[in-house]
Amino acid sequence: MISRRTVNDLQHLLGKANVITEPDDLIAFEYDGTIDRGWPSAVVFPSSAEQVAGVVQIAARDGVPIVPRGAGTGLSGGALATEGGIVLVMTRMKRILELDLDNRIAVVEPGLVNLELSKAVAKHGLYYAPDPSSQKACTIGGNVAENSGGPHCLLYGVTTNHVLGLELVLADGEIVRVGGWGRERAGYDLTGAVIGSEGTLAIATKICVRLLREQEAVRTLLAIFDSVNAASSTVSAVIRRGYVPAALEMIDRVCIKAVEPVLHCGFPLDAEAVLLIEVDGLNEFVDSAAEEITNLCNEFGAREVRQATTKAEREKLWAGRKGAFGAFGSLYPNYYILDGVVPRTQLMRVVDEVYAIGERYGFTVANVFHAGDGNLHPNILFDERVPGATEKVLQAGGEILRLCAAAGGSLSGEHGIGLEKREYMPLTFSEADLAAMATLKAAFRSEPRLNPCKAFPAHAGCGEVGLGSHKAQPLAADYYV
Amino acid sequence: MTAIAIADRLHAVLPDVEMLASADLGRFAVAGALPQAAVRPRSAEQVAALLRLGGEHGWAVAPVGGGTMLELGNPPARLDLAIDLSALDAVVDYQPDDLTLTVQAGITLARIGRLLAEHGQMLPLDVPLPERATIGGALACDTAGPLALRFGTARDLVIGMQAALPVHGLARSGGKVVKNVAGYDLAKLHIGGLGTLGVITEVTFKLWPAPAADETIVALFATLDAAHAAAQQILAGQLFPAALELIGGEATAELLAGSGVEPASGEWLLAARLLGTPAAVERQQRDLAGLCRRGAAARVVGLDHERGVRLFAELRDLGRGDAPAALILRAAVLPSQTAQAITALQVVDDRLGAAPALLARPGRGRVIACWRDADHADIVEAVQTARRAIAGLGGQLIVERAPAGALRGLDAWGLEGADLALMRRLKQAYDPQNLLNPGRYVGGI
Repeated sequence: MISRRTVNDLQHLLGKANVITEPDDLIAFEYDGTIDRGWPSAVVFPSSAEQVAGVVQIAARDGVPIVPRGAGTGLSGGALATEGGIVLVMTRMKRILELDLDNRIAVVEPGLVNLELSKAVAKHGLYYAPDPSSQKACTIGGNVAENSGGPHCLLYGVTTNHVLGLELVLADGEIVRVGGWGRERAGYDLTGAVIGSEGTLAIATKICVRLLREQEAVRTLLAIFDSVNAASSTVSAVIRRGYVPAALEMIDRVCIKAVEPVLHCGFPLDAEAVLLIEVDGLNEFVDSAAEEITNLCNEFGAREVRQATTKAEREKLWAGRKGAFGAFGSLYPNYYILDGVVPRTQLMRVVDEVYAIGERYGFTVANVFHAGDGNLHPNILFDERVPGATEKVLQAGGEILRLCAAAGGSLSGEHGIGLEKREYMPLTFSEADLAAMATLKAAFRSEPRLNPCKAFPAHAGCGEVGLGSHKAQPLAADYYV
Repeated sequence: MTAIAIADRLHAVLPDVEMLASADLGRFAVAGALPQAAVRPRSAEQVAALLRLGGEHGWAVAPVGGGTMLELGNPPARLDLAIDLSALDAVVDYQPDDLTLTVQAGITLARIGRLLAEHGQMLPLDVPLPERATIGGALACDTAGPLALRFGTARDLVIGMQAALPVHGLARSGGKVVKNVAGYDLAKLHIGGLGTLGVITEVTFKLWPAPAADETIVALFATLDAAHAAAQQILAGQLFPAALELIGGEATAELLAGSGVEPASGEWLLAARLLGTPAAVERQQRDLAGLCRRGAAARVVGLDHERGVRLFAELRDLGRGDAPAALILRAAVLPSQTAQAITALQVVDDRLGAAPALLARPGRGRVIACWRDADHADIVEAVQTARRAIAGLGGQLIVERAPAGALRGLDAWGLEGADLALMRRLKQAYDPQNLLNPGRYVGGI
């Protein structure tokens, strides 16, 4: 519910053009990268921290939820306005505010697209390390909310390892700077607490990030396997033998069949699985590491190991990996992606079981994932127009989540819990664990204002949103007055 | 509550928890304050039960590990019960093939190191005095050593944690896998939280393979500026040393004793530790030596492996060994301001009439200054002046250690900012009775 007064005040604060309330326009914001839907009452586009604070204050006064949103590429329903309310779209705030080359630090606004930062600093030989597959579209603010990873996080760490400080708007509209912004700083690590909190604690309006120096040399290997099992056991062996490559990705047959005809990236169509392995560092290191890893792949049954010889070849291989999700469209109209994590020693067994779950439910499952981290990305391919298919997909997904939890793993490595996985949280956390987490919300006084009913199991006050339903939140009776 | 009353309640309610003799209490003295009683629980459940009992009676509780950093922070506002975590020292789960390790909080860093070395792995947290320092204490104090340059600090290595909390009892966050975004990352709050939000009972780490080669080179410079400029040039390049330390003042001669390198008075030393494959380390040695020479280094010397390891162990333990420093100040500034921070601390030297042992991490903007003797009437004013100068650089000056009572009226942390209010809200939410280390942390927490 949203009142005429709320909308008027938002329009006054942001200008009419930056406040959307017409259903025809709102429909563009009812979804993110998942298969759920949520219908906002209003969508707003602030341009400054002060405007964000103003929106938050109006929402607090009128008791309206706020759902922060970046590019909407999220894969857990985190940016859906399931309780109605205001979707706060950060994409207008996309400037690089400061670039400190001496300390290799940048201060950026949350709406900046991930890849744009690396592009902007490339001329200085620097880059921003976390590289989600959606990095051409996703925003750094969204990455902060989800603590996003990416293929190269195996060696370089995820978002939380690269963010040095934040400017936050709290649920009461106060603007607070947290973290050391490049300096060590005593006191509670509020930056670390907020990163990955899925927009439920505060809204980041400035982000201070560490930039890395590009490495001298990179070697990219493509190891080709006739069985997924051989590929999985190779991954376990690489880790066991003490190699931490920059990236270690697996792509299975179904993915290859989707990607190769479209992107021509060099994945052999008759392979059961390929591993994309990258090592970087000094010339003296990469050559020996590439050779040793090649030998290891051969030892564990690779049919062939190819090395990208040119930058173009290397980029093609990565285009295949990062473009895999888009290419599923050539196979099925819909896919449902999970991102559970398991100990790397259990990859072979768990991946086997994931395929078996797909078979039991009659779905094709495509696996393309961060194998080196044990971070699965099973994609269940389906057609939502088939009656009952979506429900069945979710059931299969639930089984995969249970499988990961039972293996001693996690429900999510990088996509977040959001809306879709919140009811599974008790699989890996006790009531006391969840209560301790809820206390952080209490300390931030962010409930029920900021992204309510996300990331944790539903409780009284969280409405249930039907799958795929387009339930518009009704405007209040006085709206058209 | 009196010591006898506390002992009575402990005996009555938690008869299985070991009480330490009153003669042992001296080891838990914090800034001259003694607890009324000390206990040595044997399980995480006992720690949680102790916090519950403490809550019922309003006891102020201090968790203690190896006691190597007990002086960090302000004097306690109250202190009733010390919880000695040294009996929680089990290796809970070590999976070498997964590069993960779960340990109880009371295990020492040295024991972890020895265990991992058997499997060619390491936990790159090189905190001072590893034979005594426990993992729980190291995390609570967020102590970081030279290797933080390459491997980050505890926040970058911890993947899961269990802590005993005053309100919630035992609560976990994270897990045992290396990548995990499920639930809030509560471990981050306990790392560096000085035991003010909860008592860390169990931690899971991601590990690193031990490098095949581990070498050290040192370069001597006539001036601080030349050494600092060389350091910044190294940090901006692609050679990536695992540790890079800038050493000056009283420390240089002492640290290099027996190494064959004899620094002249006033010389500044840059020590780089290189980890990796033999070929890569050899290349780093060669190129770093060349870079330092071009940067006007008077001498560049490669130390043999043992000497290099010993030098970095001494750098790690500086000011904290058998003859600990009386005053330790730590400045935190931007990496590029490291030399400025060193200069800003000069005011304290002038007042004490003695040069400190100076150790800086130019890659992290950290400066540590250790004085043997801090016995001077104007010491408070000198530290305040230095603190203002560091604050002028946008940084923070922490008093890590000072003679008991010498710095009365001076906050050990000197932390300012609007985020303090938020930190107080966190403390209030997790420890509403203010039982855990009251008064010792930032902003009066």
